[in-house]
Amino acid sequence: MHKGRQSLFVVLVVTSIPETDKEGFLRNTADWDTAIAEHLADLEGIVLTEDHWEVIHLVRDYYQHYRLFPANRVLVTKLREAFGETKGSSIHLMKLFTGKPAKHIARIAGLPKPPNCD
Amino acid sequence: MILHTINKLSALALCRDLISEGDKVVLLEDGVYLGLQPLPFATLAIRVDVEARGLSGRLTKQTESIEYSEFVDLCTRADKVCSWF
Amino acid sequence: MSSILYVFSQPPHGSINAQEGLDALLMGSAFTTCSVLFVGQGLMQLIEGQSTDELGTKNFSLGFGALKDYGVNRIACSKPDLVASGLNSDDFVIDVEPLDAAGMQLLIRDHDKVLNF
Repeated sequence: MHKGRQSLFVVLVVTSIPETDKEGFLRNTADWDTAIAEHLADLEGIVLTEDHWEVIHLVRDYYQHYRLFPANRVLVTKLREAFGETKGSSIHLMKLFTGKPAKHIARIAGLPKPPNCD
Repeated sequence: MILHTINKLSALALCRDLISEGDKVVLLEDGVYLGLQPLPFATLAIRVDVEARGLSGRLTKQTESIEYSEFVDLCTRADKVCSWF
Repeated sequence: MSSILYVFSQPPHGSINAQEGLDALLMGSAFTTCSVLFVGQGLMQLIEGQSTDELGTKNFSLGFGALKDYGVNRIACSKPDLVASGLNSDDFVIDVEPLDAAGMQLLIRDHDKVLNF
């Protein structure tokens, strides 16, 4: 007997944060998604804007292709090619990701700690 | 001067094409066994490695035994050192 | 600043040498002109389609694709060793310049330092 259409919406907000190492880098790159990126950025006190996402996606693409976190000079070149002169600079990266861009970008992008970072 | 060091028999295959006229070649560790066979270049073999393996008096004429101190001297005089292992 | 030739002679997954070599090459390229020469079983590092997920190690062969981005100057291999390996350059992840004995000797002479991995 139907008394009318009953709809049951079950909204599950799953905020499971994937496993990280003791420095906060995701153990498994495949665990990453944009929501997790926002969470990880929040831990660094960074609010992600379109400028941040450009960098994050570029770095993730680079990693997918080459299994490397691009050296700063390579990253800057790639950003310049993709987004133009003002985006392709160390200063731009420093502004977006504060003091140690490589480390912050890698952590937020769900990639392993880059070589040469302390 | 380019100095090559070879530390095992199998490493000869890596470098035989790369050694040119005027280069120096030092055999060390298990590389000293190469001193038993004719090679297309002259070699220097570390004496203590030769003696430890019972090869004294058994090496070819083109192999000369040298002391560690001479090896160190060669390294310091070489423009570049290629170590084959 | 002196130029460095990196010589890679070890196969990729049996020891850490090959991976260390690539890391050193990428690092060195930040400071000076670098080139790389693959000889012997070092050529095996270049084989396309390596799949290391189940082995649990990193497929660093993909990283060779980035050598141009890093400004690595010449990427060469031993032609005799290539012929002897039964592979040809189509099997590799990147284009490499096959050199005969004289070409390799010249490459060594053209660089100030040589680092073997």
